[in-house]
Amino acid sequence: MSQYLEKAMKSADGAEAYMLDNTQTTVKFESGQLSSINEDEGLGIALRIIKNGKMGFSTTTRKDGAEGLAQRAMNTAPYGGAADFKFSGKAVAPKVECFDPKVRDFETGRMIELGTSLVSAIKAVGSEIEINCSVTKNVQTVTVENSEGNDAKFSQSYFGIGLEGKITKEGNFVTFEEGLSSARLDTDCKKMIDNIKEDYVFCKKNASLTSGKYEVILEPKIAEDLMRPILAMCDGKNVEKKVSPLTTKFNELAFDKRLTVVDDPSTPWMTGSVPFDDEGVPASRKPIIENGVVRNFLHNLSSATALKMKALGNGQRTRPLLGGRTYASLPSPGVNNIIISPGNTDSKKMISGVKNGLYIKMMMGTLLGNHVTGVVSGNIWLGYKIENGQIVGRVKDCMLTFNVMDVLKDNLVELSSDTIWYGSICSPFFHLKDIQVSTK
Amino acid sequence: MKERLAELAKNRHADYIEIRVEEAEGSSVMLRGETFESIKEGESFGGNVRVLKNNGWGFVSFNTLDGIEDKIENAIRYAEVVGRNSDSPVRLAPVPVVKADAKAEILSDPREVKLSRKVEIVKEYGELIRSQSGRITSAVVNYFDTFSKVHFANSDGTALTQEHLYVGMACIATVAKGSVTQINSEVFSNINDFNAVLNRHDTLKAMCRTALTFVDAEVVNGGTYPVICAPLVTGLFIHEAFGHLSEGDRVSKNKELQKVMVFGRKFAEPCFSVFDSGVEKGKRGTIAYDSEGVKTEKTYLIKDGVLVGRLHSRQTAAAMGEKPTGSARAIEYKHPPIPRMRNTAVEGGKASFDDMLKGIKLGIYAKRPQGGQTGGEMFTFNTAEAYMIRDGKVCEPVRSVNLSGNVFETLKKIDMVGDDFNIAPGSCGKGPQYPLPVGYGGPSIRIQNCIVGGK
Repeated sequence: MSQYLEKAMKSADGAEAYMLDNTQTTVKFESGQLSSINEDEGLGIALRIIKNGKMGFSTTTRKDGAEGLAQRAMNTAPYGGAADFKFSGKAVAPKVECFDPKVRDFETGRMIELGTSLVSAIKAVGSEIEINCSVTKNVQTVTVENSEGNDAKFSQSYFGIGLEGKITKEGNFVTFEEGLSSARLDTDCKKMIDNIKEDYVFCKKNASLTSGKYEVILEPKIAEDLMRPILAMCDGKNVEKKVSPLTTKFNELAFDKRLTVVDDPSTPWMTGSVPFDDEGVPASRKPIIENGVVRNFLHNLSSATALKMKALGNGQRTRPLLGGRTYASLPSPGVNNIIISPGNTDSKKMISGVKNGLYIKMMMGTLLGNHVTGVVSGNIWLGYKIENGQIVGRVKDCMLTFNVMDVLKDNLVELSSDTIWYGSICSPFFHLKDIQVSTK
Repeated sequence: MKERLAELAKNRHADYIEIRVEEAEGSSVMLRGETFESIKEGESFGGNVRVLKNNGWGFVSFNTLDGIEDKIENAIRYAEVVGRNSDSPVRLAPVPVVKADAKAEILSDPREVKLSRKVEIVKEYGELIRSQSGRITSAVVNYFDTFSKVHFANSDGTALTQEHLYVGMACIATVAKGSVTQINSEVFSNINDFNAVLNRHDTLKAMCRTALTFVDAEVVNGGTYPVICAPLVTGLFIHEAFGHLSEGDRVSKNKELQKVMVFGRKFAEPCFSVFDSGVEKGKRGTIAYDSEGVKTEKTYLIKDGVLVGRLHSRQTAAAMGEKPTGSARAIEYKHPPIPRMRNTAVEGGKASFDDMLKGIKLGIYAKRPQGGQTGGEMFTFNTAEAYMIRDGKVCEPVRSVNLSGNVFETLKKIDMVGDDFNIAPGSCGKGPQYPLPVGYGGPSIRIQNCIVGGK
């Protein structure tokens, strides 16, 4: 038992100590030049206690801060919410491939070589592209121990390459964003480079567009924007509070029958691959939407208990808006790895079948807004006009607004047979019809 | 502590070294409906070493001073490696050496207020919001306070301890009608006065009335309109549209952007000026010194329509041959300082609201903003409260108004600047450094031909 739990149990009826150990090295390139090497060695501890049926919460980054941590948690308990759930019990960890020692041992020199060769490859695509790039390796160790006897612990590695390429010509700014991330050492940048080559050529011409309804092909990168409202609607807390439109749709058809969305933390080596969640609950594979039917909501222990459902390893402590694990937040429902089932049409064939539409790769502004209503609204940051199956140029100054509750029920033309992983989401291309686009 | 850091920073085999240590404590109370979702007391201790050697930067952050000598040596080693692999010169603009204790000028201290009192206020506001109407489906009240002491020393001889207090409350009312949801919010936040969260009942009642009004409103027809922006919308627009473009790190390494952002170039009409200031009393973006120990100031970005300034760290100032502006900010010890905004605002003008309404046959009055984002030359933001303007009169409320455009074109289309003014509290994101406390504001402004997303 750690000192944090031990100290807390001296005065609390129940307690849970969460410890997050972080070691990270990032090599950064700015404007194509190596600019810095940044290292972080961090520790964060969060304590939840139960006293007289109420929950207290405190945090610290001081290794020797157990006394203060317990005291502060006891301070907050009299005012806290009712402790209406039990902390997780001891459970067998599923075997999940999420720690690669090659990531931990990857030398800084090799990270510099990797970034340097990526920068050169992009410079060879277009000498006017301003390139910012980062190569990051990270190992996090999560420990959850509590008064129910649980002592879940695991280490998760992360290796990521982020690339931003900017072309700044007056009246024609373009930003390309590409990345690669995995729990294991994956240094193959070919896809990133090929994508930028393709975008660089497409962006050479601008295409005009008038406001109206269009067929739209969404590149898998946009899946994050499509899923954000769906996941907010499936968030157990939102269901519990009855603010989700899916509250009354459990086991009912709510979307197109071709839509299947699965949360799978057991997928090997992806960034959401974990054996336990941040409450020490074993993380298991579950369908969220299955053939259009709502099959599972996402729960932390509190929402699962309130709704008399099972907690399946979706209690996550994440940074608001930025995402990523933190000790400083309470556990809230989240997803691990999202896998959206593919369809039947190759994406290239899909694009070539569009007479008059748009091919969208990046949106801006979609982080804003009330996601639980299902709205997706933003600027088309990188998108192209399709005419008679051909990409004819880049569209600019266009806004897109739709509701996933409507378009993923009534406006889905098809899903592609090919899928791409971006971060922790694996998605096909989405082909939608009658999407409202506003432009000047 | 700052003396210890000053000793540690001396006589190192590096061109420049700075060491920062932060001690922070705070509390937060979050009420959603009738449930206290989170009542938290937290503290943190952490720091970093940042080294410049032979044109390379090394940075190491930590949560303990144990082994600090090794951490310093690691940072120096990283800087050496970078220096060997880069041929880009890095210089720092000279700045005065500072030896100071910059205390927070506190009017009423949240650390002296019992947690029970904070909980009581949050509960009272939550009950008030819920009681306004049975149609209010969600009421969220979120109180927060943090007090931090940042100790900073560098190899120039600066040794500085600076206190920061942030205290405030965010209240959100959600009204749902079928598939339509309307959210309205109020944020009261400042850097010196716990009492400013008290007696907000009338404001919250008005917030609820607005949410109830707008849930019944029609979605705006998307298209191009003249738009009058109320002060907070002006502030969000200028923050997203121009503030980020003014950050020195965006400009200093981008030769093409330097051709666009040339001092003396006309960006807007002569009635239009923009500043970014670290010295606005009591405002959320106000700081005495930036994270490099440089005294802050009021920096004009646009004066009388013409570009005159930008926001610099010591590195970006030196790179561009311009003066540092005290704009280098690190959100916390895990990050190095980078050019950021402080309180960014359009300067007040002379036009009355009625003057702006005249001549608008069909337009939009954007009264309250709801988040924004920028990407290069494009900006976008939502409104929480907007109305149609017809024949010079503010008319029916409209929903889902999303304003977007090209920055440079939009600035040229601002034809009137109002005689009102306000700076509101905000939070800004840049890469992983979110949420940085900032202020944003200005007077009402009128923009012709703005792209509006809707139905």
